[in-house]
Amino acid sequence: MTEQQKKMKKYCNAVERRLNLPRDVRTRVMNDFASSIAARREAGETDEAIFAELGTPREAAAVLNEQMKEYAYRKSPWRWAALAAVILGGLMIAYNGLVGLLTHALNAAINSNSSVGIIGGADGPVAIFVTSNPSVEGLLVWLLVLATGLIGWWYFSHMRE
Amino acid sequence: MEERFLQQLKKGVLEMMVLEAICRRETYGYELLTTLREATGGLFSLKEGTLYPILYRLEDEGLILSSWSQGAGRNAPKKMYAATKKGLAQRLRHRQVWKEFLTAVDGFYREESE
Repeated sequence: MTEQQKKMKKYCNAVERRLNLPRDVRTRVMNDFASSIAARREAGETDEAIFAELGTPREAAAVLNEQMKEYAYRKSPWRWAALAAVILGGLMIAYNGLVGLLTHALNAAINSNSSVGIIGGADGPVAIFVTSNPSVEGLLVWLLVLATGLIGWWYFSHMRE
Repeated sequence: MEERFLQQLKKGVLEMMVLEAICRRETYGYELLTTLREATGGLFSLKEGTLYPILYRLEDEGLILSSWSQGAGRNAPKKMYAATKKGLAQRLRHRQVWKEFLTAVDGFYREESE
C-alpha cells in the first residue's frame, strides 16, 4: 500500500468512526463514500483537492450524519435509568470493596496485636469485623446491576427507528 | 426565505431526478452528482451525503439495484446503480405526475396574469 493509499484509508476510517449509524448502514455509506473518492481520483482530482472538498473527517462525518438522520440511532430516555444502574452498581461495588479492604486490614492488625500476648483478647472485635465483611452474593448482585446497566445504556443509546 | 423555498422545491424533486438519471443509464454516485450539477446549470450542486439517503430509499423500494464494477484500468472498484423494471415503471409515473403538476401550476399562474 502506497503512502497516499494509507493516508486515504486513514481518512475514511476516521470518517467511519464518527458516524452515528447502525453498522449495516455505516458499511453501506462507507462503500459509497470510498467509491466516490475512487471516482474523483479517476476524474483527475488530486487527494488534496478531494480532502479540501470533503473537509476534515469530523466535517465529512457531520455532513453524512446530518443527511442520514432518518437512519441514525435513536436515543431512548430509558438510557438515563440504565446509567443510574451503572452508577449505583459501580458505587456499591466500590463501597463493598473498600469495606472488604478495611475489614481485612483491621483483622490483620488485630491478629498481629494478639500475637503480642493477649490471648483471646481479640476474639470479640474480630468476630464483629468478620460479620461486617461484604458477602460474595452481595457483590454478585451489584455486579449484575452494573452489567445490566451497561448493556441497557448501550441498547437504549443504539435503538433503531 | 427564498433560499428555504428553493431548498424545499429541490428536496421535492430530487428523488425523481435521481431515478430519472439512473434510468437513463447505469451510473455511480459521483457521476450522478456531476450529471445533476451540469444538467441543471449548477442549481443542483449536491454533496455526497445528500445523495445517499435517496439512493438507499430507491434501492430499498426495489426501484434500483447496486453492484460493484471493476472496469479496465481502474484502480478501485465503483458502486454502480442501475434501474430495475419497477424503477423504469415508476419513472414513467413520475413523468406523468410531473407533467400534470407543471400544467396545473402554470395554469394557476396564467389565470392570475390574464
